[in-house]
Amino acid sequence: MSKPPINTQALYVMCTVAVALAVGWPTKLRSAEAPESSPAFGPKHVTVHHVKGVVGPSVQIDDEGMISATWVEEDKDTRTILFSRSKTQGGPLGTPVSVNQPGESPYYRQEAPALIVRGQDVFVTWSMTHPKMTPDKPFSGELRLSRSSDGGRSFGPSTLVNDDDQVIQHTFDALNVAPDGVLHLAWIDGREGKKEPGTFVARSTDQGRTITKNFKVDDNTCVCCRTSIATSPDGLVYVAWRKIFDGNIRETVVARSADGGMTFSAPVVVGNDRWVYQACPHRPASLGVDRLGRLYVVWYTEGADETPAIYLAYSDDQGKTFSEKKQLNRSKGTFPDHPQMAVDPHGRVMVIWEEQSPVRREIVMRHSLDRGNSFSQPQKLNEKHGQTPTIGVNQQGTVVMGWKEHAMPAHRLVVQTMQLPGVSVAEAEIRTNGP
Amino acid sequence: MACAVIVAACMGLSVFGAPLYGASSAAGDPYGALGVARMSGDVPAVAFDLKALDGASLASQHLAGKVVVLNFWATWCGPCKEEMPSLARLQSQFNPGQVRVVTVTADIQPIGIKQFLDHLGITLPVLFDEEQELSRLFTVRGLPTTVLIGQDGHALGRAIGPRAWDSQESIALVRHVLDRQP
Repeated sequence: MSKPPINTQALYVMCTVAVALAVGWPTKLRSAEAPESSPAFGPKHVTVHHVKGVVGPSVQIDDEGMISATWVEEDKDTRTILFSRSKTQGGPLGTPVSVNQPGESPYYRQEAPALIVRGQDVFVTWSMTHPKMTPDKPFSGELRLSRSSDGGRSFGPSTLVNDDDQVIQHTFDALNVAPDGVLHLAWIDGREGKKEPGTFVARSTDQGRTITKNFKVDDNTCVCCRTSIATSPDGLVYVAWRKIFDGNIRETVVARSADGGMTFSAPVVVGNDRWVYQACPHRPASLGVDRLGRLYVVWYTEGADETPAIYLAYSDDQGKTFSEKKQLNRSKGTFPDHPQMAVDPHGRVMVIWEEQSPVRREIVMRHSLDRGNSFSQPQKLNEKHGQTPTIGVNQQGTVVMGWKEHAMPAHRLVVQTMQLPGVSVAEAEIRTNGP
Repeated sequence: MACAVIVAACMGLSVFGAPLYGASSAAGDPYGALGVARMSGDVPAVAFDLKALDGASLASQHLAGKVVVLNFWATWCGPCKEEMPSLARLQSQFNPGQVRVVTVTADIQPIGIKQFLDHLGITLPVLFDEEQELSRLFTVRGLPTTVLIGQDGHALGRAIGPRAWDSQESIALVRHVLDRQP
C-alpha cells in the first residue's frame, strides 16, 4: 500500500468529532429511522492537517456507505495528491495514501482533484507539472488520470489524458463513469492558441488504462470555471461549463452526447442570465441526472443586475430546453458561492454551497425530495470558517458532504453523511408528473 | 500560513443590501474614464500582513500614507497575466514613496511566479493570500480585481477585469487620488 512520507503521515491527527445534528447516530443509515421530511445527519469526522496548504476535498460515497475523499496537500515545496476511504459506513476516513507516484509532481492548488469511485475502482484526475515547463512558460501542466483497482489502497502510475504537446495548462477537469463503465473526462485547455480556451473531452473504455483521442466540444470557454460532467441511465453524456458570448456575456451551458461521448451537440444556454463580466469568476456549474433522465443544473451567476446568486434548473428533454431557474440562496447578509449538487436515482436533490462575507465563511445546504420543485430551508453545516464544499450521493440516497475549514494553525477536512428522507415524495412526484 | 489579516473595523463593512460601489460614468470623472467603480467612503481601512514572494512580509502599515494599487490575480487567470506588465509600467510612472503597486494572489506558485515576473522584467511585490482572507475582506469576486486605496488607507475604487494600467486614464486616476486630501 502506498503511503505518504513518514513526516507527512506523522502530521495527521485522525479524530472524530461527535457532533451529530441528529439525536443518536444509527449504526446503519436507514431512511425509515428519519422523520418523513427531515434528513438524518451522521457525525462530523474531522481530519487535522498540519501542513502549509490543503486544497479540497472531493468526496464520494459508495452503495455500502463507505466514503472516499481526495485532496491536495502542500508542505514546504512538495505537493501530494492524497486519497482516503472509510472502513466503516459514514466514516471516519482511513489512513491516506498517495495518489501520485514518486516523480509525479502535482502542479496545481486551485482545485481539488476530481474523484469517482465505482466498487473497487477509484479514478482521480489531477494536474501534473508539465515536464517541458520552461521559465517562459511557467504555469503549465498535464492532465493526469490515476487509477486504483483495489479500492484506493494503492494507485499505479498515472495516465496522460491530454493528447497535445502544448506546454500550457490542462485543468479545471471533471470526470464521471457511465452505466456501461466508460469513463468520461472533461477539462479546459487552450491548445489552439486562441484568445479563449476550449472545452475538451476524452473517454476511457478500459477502466482508465488508455485514453481516447481528445475531442473539442466548443470554443470560447471561460478559462477558470471548472467543467462538470454527468451521465444518464439512458446512456447520454452531459458536459457543462461557462461560455463567453459576445459582449463578455457569461452563460452556463450544457452540451449533450448521444453516442457515448464521441460527439456532442451545440451547447444550450441554461439560465439566460445575461451576466456581463470581463474577469475570471472561477466558479463551476454542477450536474446531476435522476433515473428518469431529468437533468439538473446548479450554477452561480450575478445576472444582468450583478447580484450574486445560485440557481437550479432542470431539463426533461435531454438538455434541449430548461425549466425556469429557481434561486436557492436566501441570505441577505452574505454572498453565495461555489455550489455543488448531488442527485440520487429517485430525484432527491442536495445542493451545498458557501455563504461568504468579509468575516464569515459558512457551508450551507438545501435538499429537495420532489425532483427540484421545492427545497428545504438552508441549513448551516460548518463549525469554523468553511470553504470549498463538495458532495456525493449513492443509490440509496445517502449523501456525503465534505469541506475544508481553516483553524489556525492547521487545516481541517470535514466529512459528514446525511440520509435523505424516504423516497415516497419523489416517487409520488414521478408518478404524478412523469419525467 | 504566515499570514495574519487583521480587520480594523470590518464589522461595519456593509456590502450587502446596499451596494459597496457604484458606477462612475460621469464625464470628466477619472474613475469613470477607466471604468473603475467608486467605493463608498464609509468603507473602513483594512490592515493586513502577508508573506511576500521574496520571503519577507509586507504589512499595510508599511504602505501608510501612500496611494496603493492593490491587484488581485492568479496564475491560471489569463487576463491577470496580460495586464501585469501595464501595472509595472504604472508603477514606473510614480515615486514608490508616494504610490505603490502591490499584487496579491491566493495561488501559491512561488517558483513559477518568480520565473514569470523575471521573464517579463517585473519587480512588483507579490503577496500570498493563501486563505483568501484579504480577498474576502475586499469582497473580491473575480480576477483580476484591482482596488485603489487612498493615502488614508480607505479603499476608493475597484476595477473588475483587466485594464491598461499604463494608459493616460490610469495615470490620471492615480494622480487624482494622490492629489486627494484625506
